[in-house]
Amino acid sequence: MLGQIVINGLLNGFVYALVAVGLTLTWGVMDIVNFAHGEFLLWGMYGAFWIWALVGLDPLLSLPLVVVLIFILGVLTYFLVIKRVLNAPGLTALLATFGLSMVLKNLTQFFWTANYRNVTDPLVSSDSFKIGGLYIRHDYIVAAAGALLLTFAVILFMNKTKTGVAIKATSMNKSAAQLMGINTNRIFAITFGLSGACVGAAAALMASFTPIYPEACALYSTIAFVIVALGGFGNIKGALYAGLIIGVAEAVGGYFIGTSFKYLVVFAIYLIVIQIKPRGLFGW
Amino acid sequence: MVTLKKHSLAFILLAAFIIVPLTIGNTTDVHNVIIYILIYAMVGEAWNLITGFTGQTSFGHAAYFGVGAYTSTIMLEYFHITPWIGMLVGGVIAVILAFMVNFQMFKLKGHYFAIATLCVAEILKTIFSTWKWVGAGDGIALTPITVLIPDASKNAWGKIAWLSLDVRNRLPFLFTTLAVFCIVFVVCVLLENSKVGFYWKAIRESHEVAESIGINPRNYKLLAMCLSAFIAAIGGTFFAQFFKYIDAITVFPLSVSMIFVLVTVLGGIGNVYGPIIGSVIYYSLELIMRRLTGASGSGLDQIVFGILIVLVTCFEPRGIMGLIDRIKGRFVKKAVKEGEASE
Repeated sequence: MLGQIVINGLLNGFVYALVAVGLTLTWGVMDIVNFAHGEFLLWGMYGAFWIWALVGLDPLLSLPLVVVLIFILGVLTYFLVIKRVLNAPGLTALLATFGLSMVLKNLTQFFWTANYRNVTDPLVSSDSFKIGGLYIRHDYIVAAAGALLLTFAVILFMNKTKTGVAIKATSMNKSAAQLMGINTNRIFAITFGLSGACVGAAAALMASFTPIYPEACALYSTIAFVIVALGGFGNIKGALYAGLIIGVAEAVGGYFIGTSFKYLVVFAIYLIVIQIKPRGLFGW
Repeated sequence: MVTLKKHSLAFILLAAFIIVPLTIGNTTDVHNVIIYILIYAMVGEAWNLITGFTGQTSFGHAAYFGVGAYTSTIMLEYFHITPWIGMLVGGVIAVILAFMVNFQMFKLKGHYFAIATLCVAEILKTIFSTWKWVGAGDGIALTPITVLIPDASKNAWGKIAWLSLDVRNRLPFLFTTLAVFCIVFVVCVLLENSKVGFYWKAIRESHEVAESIGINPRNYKLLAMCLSAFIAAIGGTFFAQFFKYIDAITVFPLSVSMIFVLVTVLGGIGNVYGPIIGSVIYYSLELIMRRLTGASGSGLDQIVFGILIVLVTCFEPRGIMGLIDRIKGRFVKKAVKEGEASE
């Protein structure tokens, strides 16, 4: 039984990790905590839903499209809002993104009401297969595998491409990066877009088994904060490990103390860890 | 006379809050809105102490707000103790909570602290939504005083003890809330101009410099947080008494914490007028939108408010008060220039 719970938590954790990777990028590179991160996820899910509802393309197949859409949303956000608050005190930037999250969340309610929406008859069904006494749902394992793959893709991008290295350079020292001829403005825009792309991908992966409504992602952004802080800000691998830890902790805690307490476990872990390591488990 | 001139805005606002509900706004609808304005402005003032003056971002003030609401409600419902005492007890419990939680947490910096405060409120939300004794998921619906204590309104003591905290008559409740808000406001003004207030601002501007001139940042931060928690708890009591129903989802979530934050930021962070100005704008906007669209729930007021917040943070981080200052400054400059020209 415990094995079953751990495996479900782990599968969930991979998706958490991908969402958190998006958040940790903007946090680490620009020191911006994006409160609208959950709403990016929400818009991604609605995007996947409407592509499915109108064109009939399954969320898993429309993933690249959703990724591009949310990438554009991220870049737009950067140029319209974030750019203006980059040099302001931390709280100002935080509140700007919170205002943005209110707008984005309530726009979905305004356009598409607060009704629950589901993708029915998805490509990968919710059936399970059995390995050594453990049941694993097809759609969960596909989402987890996809999330892990994309997380590695982001890590690869950061380490192997010129743009990725430029992003890392900018995060270490903005003015030095500028002196080396890096257009930091462009790098920031790309980072925000990339952050959006991560949640867009997560959204498409989740859309086929998660009910979609305006409040659906409220908790995801809070949990993503915890994961990012645990992983150490800007640390992509840290976010991956912390995502898995939180996924498992939530599932195991929910099992032992009761489902209604599962998020309590997540927040308690944060408060305890932060006492011991104020910059997160894998922080510098 | 000097104080009169310096705080002329306060007297204008006070006059407006007394005159409007009696004259042009003499409807239940407007009274409700004004009561909400006052309650949220009260907690906004509380939040302003710790974040606006001391510079420690709290996204979890719903924790203290909710503790105040729950304490006074439970004392009233289960032990039949007047909310006037309940709010003080709630305040004390909130202070104890704030002290215990933040004693260690103040070593965290920036975003890490902000997220930790958010976690505390979320943890309380979970606890209260599962705790049977306080109604768990069903919450507590407040019993009318006349049912709870049948002879409360008969004797004089009873009348005083329950004075105006029973909302069947909205106007007395409104003026009671206004009176308490005024006390909170005056306390905040006094604090801002006291030695402690200057210490807080020193800590906000630079932790290290404050330390180097002999201020113990943690003690003063704790003081700010505890005072803030006390006021927030009183706000929570008024909310519970007014709303007549509380559960964990209405008092503890992040969205409630953020209302306090956003009204203050819109009005002007670090300015005693900020919360009240922001609160007036927020709830007037809600009222107008409700009257325009006929029903709430479309989220239109939230969209407009969100856009306002984005605009404020992008273009005038000191909020509406900053905008007023800027306009005033322009006039003053003009006057000075004209004065120079005439000489």
